[in-house]
Amino acid sequence: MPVTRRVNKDFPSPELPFHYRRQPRSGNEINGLGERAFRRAVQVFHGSGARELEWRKLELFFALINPFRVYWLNLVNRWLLRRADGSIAKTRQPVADPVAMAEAIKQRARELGAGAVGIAPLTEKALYQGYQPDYPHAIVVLMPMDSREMAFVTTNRAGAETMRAYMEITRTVIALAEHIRAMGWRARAFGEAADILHIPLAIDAGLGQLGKHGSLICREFGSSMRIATVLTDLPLAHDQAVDIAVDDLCLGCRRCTLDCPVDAIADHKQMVRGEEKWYVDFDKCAPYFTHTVGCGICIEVCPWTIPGRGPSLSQKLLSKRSHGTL
Amino acid sequence: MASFEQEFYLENPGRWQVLRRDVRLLLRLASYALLWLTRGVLVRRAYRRAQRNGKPLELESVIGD
Repeated sequence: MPVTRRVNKDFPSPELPFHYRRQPRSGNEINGLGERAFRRAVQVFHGSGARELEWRKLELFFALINPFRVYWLNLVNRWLLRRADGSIAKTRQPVADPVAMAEAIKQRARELGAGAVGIAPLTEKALYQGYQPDYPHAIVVLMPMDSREMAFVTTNRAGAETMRAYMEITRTVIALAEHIRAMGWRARAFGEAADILHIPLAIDAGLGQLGKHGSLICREFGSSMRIATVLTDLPLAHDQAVDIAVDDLCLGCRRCTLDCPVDAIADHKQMVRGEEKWYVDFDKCAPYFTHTVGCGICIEVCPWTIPGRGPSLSQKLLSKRSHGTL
Repeated sequence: MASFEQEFYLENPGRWQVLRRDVRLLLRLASYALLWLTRGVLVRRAYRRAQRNGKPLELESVIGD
């Protein structure tokens, strides 16, 4: 049965009822917009607590104006995350075939509720400055959100659904990490507000590509999903990055650009810390995001997010490209 | 500053370490809940007032250093 979506186009005004008296250092500058050399990212907003955030006041304001249900779910999620690491079995199960092991781990993740799962090496671009975890592999898990609830973006209802999905994916990666530790290997689960960047890992793990709106786009769920990761030393074969033709659509599509009330989404790729990529203006996005319980307009209006649309859209775009008709 | 991970994730912890961590985390989360119920009331009141009056709220006036 097709899922009907109600995208509320009557989004809140970009005129915000709050502002900084003294504007903090630009998040774009901190994030390395315009920088041609690679360096690691620095946390600006929604941090892990590892450093004093430049936009700390907005972060706290966001937490305090959230409805209690959203705030409460965040606290519950933090409580669950205490089990992100734990005891490792004394006897280590040997791994003769990393390919077969990777398949078995993915199967286990799916049994635990993962919507999609991929495996990538842990690389520098997925790490924040000053953080050096000692794990070679990242198992990246995606969890779709309920599209009927997310149709109410900018309201408490969609905010609560986002937190519910975070909790669900947290449970999944915790259980997956426990499963690996029971095999005698190190494994640590990472959910929201982590010390790692999930999106670069998800891209390397073949789960999707970066969209114009700065979020991951995957074939199955568009951008309406949450990402979490398990870092481990369990020998695993890595997946390859995929091309699902995200750029083919994003280069011509202007849905998120036009619908973003604060014009935070650019129509062209930009140089960010040595990589040419889609980039969202942090200074414009974050205050509106705060005002609208996590916003999500760009994700909701994205053609890839329409339930069931992704696979056929990808196929059509790839076919057009191969026939040179784009 | 220690991150949430550095503070509360424990690899191969002993029983007492787990207990100590759980108590510390519970206290931390309780302090967050209390913050929402105390300072949060003032912040939300000021935010609503700003929305009604059309006079933007200065974040520094409700969130201190």
